Amino acid sequence: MRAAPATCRPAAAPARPTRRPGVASLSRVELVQLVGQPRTQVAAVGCLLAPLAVVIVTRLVGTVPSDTLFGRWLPDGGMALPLVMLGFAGQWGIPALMSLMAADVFAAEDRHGTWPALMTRSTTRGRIFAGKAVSATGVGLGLVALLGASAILCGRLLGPTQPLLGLSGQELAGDGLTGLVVMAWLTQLLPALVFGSLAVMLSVLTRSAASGTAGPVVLGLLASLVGMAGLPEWLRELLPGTGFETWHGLLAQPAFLGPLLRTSLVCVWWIALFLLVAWRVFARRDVRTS
Amino acid sequence: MSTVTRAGLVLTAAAAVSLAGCAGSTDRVQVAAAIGPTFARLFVHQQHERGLDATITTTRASATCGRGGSTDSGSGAGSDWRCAISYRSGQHAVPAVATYSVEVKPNGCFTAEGDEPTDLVSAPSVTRADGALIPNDLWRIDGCFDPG
Repeated sequence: MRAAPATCRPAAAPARPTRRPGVASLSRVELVQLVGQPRTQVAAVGCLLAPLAVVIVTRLVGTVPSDTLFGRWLPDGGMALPLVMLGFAGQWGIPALMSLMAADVFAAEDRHGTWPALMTRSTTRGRIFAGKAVSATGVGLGLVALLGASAILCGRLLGPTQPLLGLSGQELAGDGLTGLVVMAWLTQLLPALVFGSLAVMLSVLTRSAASGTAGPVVLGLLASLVGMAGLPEWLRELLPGTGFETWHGLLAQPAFLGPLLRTSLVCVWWIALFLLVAWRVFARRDVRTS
Repeated sequence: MSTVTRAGLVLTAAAAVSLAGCAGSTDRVQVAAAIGPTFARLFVHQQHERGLDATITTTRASATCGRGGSTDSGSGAGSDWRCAISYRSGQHAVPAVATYSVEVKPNGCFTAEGDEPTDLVSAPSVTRADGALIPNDLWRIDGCFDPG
């Protein structure tokens, strides 16, 4: 599926022949390749249409996901739609999107046996690693943002004036409510990056796109199961998936941001750990035999 | 790999220590402090929808919660929480009590289902002053509090 290894850019070198391609240009090349792939395009269309599909299915089936926060108000449209989708997105949607984008970015070079060719290009291993990691997780984050924007827009178009009862019984409405929902979706980006980094790590470690894709989704589901098992709160907040739930605090009165801030730190730690392990393994790999 | 492992262990320990200092476990004071004001706001909301007068101040709601048949002991997540909320509605000077069966989740979110009084909290819809049926906001209450 991948047309060419990352650095097969027709060397824009003549003007400055001594300059090696940096992380930005490597990322750009990877980005163009990722966006050109059918699975990225299918995922993007899916993100755009998912909110509409949720609305249609809810109306056709006639039942609401009443055990999900805001699920009871789903038929009314409005901001209930992006908030209900937020509940599902964190459990498996976002981990799946992130790993779908990030899992193949290293493993593809193994599958096509293109590492030796790639490594002889005039750039460093660190830049290749950074370029691939940045582009893969960047596209994943773009898809998450697309899903959120589509859900919010869809909700707005279906019920622009619908007020909503917040998580402390307070009435929320208008632009204030929309602002809170936008912020709630923004809190998903850092935990999403955790799962993107995990997919990058698994892609490097196992050299297989399948385990890079399935791994984060399975681990994400496992983490949310473990999180429901009555762990002490500090341990629950150390799990990589807990960050997906901390938007609850934004919709309470008074708002509480403690879990959001603490899990943000935890997310940064997980991202650093996964990328560090991925880099150490990648840096020491003998690519001539791969 | 050893450097990575060592760095990971140090980071884990640091994160665990910093988190352990600021996060506890759900107790009944937290549950009561969340459900009392939430009930009050929804009560006022419901009364207004029914064309009746009420404010947070006049409602003076206050909750006591507990687990497993008790309303004054227990902690942790579970579906056997019960809360008794005393409140005042406009025309009565004497407080009334509403009771709820509550499921508290580990993430600090709860779902409370109304038990008593029947006409106020345990019916999915209530009648407005003009006789029309409207959804009852006090029947099932979804809310969240800081579990830390």
